Amino acid sequence: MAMLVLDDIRKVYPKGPSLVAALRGVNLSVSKGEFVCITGPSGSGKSTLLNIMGAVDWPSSGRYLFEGRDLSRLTDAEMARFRNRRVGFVFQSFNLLVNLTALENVCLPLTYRGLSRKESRARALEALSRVGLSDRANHYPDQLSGGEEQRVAFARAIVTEPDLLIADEPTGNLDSHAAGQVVRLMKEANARGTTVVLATHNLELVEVASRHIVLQEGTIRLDSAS
Amino acid sequence: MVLSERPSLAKARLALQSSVFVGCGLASFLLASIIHVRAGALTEISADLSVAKPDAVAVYVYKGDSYGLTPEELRELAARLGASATVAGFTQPVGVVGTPDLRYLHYVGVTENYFSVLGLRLQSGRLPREYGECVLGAAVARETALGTAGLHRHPWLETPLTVVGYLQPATGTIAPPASSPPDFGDITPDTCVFCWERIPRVLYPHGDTLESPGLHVLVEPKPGQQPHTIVESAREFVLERYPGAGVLVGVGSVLQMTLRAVQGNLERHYAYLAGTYLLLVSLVVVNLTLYDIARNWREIALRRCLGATRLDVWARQASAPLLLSALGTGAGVVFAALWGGRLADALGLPWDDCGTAAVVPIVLVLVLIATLATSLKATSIPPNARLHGPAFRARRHRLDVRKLLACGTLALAVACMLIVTACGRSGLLEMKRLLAAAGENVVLVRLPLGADELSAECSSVLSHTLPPSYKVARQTLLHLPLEHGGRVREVPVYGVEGSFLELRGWTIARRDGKRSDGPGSGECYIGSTLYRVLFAEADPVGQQVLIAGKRLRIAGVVAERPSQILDLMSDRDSSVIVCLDDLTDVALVRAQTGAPDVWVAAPHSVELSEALDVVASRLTSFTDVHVEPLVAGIQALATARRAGTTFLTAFSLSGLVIAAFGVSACFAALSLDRRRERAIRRVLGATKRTIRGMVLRESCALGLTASGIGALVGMVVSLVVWRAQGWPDPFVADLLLVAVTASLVVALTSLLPTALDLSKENLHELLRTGE
Repeated sequence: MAMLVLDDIRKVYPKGPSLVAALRGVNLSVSKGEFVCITGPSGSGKSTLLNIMGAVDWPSSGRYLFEGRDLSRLTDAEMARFRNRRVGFVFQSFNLLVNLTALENVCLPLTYRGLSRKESRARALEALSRVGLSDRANHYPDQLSGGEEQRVAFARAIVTEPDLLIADEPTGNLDSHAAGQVVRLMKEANARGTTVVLATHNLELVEVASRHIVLQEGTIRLDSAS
Repeated sequence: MVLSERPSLAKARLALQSSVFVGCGLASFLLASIIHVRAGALTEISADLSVAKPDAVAVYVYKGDSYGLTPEELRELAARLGASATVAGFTQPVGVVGTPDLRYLHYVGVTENYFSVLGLRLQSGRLPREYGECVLGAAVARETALGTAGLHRHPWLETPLTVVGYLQPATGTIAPPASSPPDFGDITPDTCVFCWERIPRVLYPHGDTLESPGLHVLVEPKPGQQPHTIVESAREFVLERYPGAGVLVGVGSVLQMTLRAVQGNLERHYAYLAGTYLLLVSLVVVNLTLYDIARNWREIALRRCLGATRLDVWARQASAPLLLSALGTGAGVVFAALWGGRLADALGLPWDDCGTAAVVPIVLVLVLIATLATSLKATSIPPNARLHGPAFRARRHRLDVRKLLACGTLALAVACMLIVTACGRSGLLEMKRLLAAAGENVVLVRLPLGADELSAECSSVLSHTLPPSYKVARQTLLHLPLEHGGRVREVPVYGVEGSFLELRGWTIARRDGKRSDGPGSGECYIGSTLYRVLFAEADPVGQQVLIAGKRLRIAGVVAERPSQILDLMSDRDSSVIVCLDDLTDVALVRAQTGAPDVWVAAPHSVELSEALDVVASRLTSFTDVHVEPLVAGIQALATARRAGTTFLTAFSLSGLVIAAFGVSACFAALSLDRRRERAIRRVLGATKRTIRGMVLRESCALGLTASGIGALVGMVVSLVVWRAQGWPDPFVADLLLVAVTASLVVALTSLLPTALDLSKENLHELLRTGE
């Protein structure tokens, strides 16, 4: 059974007086445990698609079913709870909070889940050690290298043990060594059963994915699964 | 060019710009008002008195233990000013004598020019030119038949005075209102005896001798000369010789100086408020500039890339706040000029239209400093900053300067509000005390200065003719030296007679014997505070103190005034109460006060108007006696103070509104920086409610911190003010509660625009661009 199903998803943005269509009827289903790599030129709708999958954005039309449940009917608070418990995010620009230490950054989703401080810290430390940064737990983001920042972001994404890991250009700002580390971490997460959806310009990453989707002008031009 | 601006940010910018404009306007209005009120006071006094030529300059010199210049120094000053001015000298009135025929006489030593500067003319005779010569004011000459012979006989003058001339009545002099007896302040040319600059030596009965005192200066500029240049030259001249001296310089008559000193209080309040406003405005200007820099960071970097110099950037950042400030300042000055007069009329303040252009540079220079200093930050932005897209890595800063600014702005406004409200309330409380102490049925019979015998007669007549239920007493107040244990200090001394203590409700905590009336001759009661100062815990009863050279035995201690009990004499706890007879000689010599007032307390069953009629009816045969309810004068004072307090409080509240603008803009600017943070938090599972809660907590913390700091500063400053004034403590829980609530309300309402914008944020757009 598919974990997530996108049924004729369309997304339109107002831009000045006119409307811009970012997605033009995307149909897609992703099964649990898949490693999906989405590629496409800039402006093809990759990030928009990931945002809708991660419940960060709403489609203008169409249905988004996650394990059979229509997410478009959820309230804002329910969406927040869904993101917190089911989805992990990794961004190109890391998006760490600069005033928090690495450990505090990783604790953040657990705090919103309502876990105790003690338990949050224990789980965050475990996640940090999984990405090899337990010794950098008390460093602030501006004291870390780009690769380390992205690994902290990755630890933050997996600390809640999400079902779906969404990565938007996770290696875009990293050198090849750091990018390799991040890719390895994604593969490990996928091996543990986490569904990974990755958007990238880097065609080398297609090799590590189990499925490759090419997006162009808001529509799926190629899906290796079909 | 602005690269992009979201509506919410435009609102923040508008709020800041409005607050700069309004703040500058209000500050300028206040400053301009000070000038108008000062000019009004001078004009009013000049119009009332007309005793001096309007552009005459008066210079008071205080040298610590003495005052005034020597005649030689006066001549040096005249030589320095040269032909541009006429210089005259005068002493302060050095003697006041009460006699049955001549109620008050002020001896003033003057130089020959004094009369021409003041516009006084001789009716007959000539001006005094030698020691012992004098001319008489018109009232003195008219109301007495003393002439030369009378003045010869005066026992306190070492040298017989020779009257060499008589002055014409001064035109336009202040005439004491018919219903009010003259007091010490009513010194007019008609009521003085003008001696040569070295006045006759005065011998006081208890041994003091008054030598010729120093001369204060009156300068009349020649036509075409500006008074302010004279003022500066005179001040410079005095400070060259007496570097530490206090110099009080003003334009107008001698009497204006006294009244201006009173007026100065009002001006000080205005000036403090205007200063606070300017500070608030400066803070808001700093906020605006910082906000602009944060908003235009990328644009500034781009401009630098395209070749803009640091100076270009600096000038660009400074232009908007300066333009707004200039507009606001102009509006404030124009408003003050056009409509301030009406407001002043409503408040009973003197007002005169005058040029207030000087205000504009004052405000602008301050704003300029704030703007230019803050704009320097913009010049530190490197050309490559923020041009690398969302990967730009912000540096962490745990202590945000804008939070400090917001907190400081709010704290300042709260402190300002608290100070004004507390001091106003304190003053009003004092007035209420006075009013309450005045009672509903106390009638005061006031008498002219020196009319001691008349006072005694009035008291006697009233005691014998009023029903027994009416209490009659006499009281006078002097400030005299008290010597005890080798130390001399000046204390208020109440001379009382009759049932004054009973009438006032003062009780004696410790006493010698069981008398319930006032102290007997040669005895005194002391206030509880004075008792603690002089005797610590030792029993003072039976001990002796020396008051104005007279040895008095302490017969009791006046019970401390309970804090909630209101009393007319707020200084009673630190005063000495003596028998009126023991003060008679002293009173005549010192002449610090009028004749003892006669107090009449009617029974509670009698209406005040009826009591007034009854008392007045018993005194129909007396002239120059003024019967009034005790509350009347206090009510007049209270009304004026209430109006002033309301006015200042309104302005302080508007300061709070300005602060609200500033704080709102601070929040918006902070929000601008933290959009990405909020987006990240929301992606990680925080709901909008959680985010709102987070922002709410932060603003509450800021509001509470600001109110705490503001309340503390406000309390300390207010404490200093009302202690100095001797007013009661106005701080009760509700005042502090109002201050804290006000700052919280400001913090929360300032947050409202930002909080509303939170719900409109596009999560994925924020994540993508961080902006």
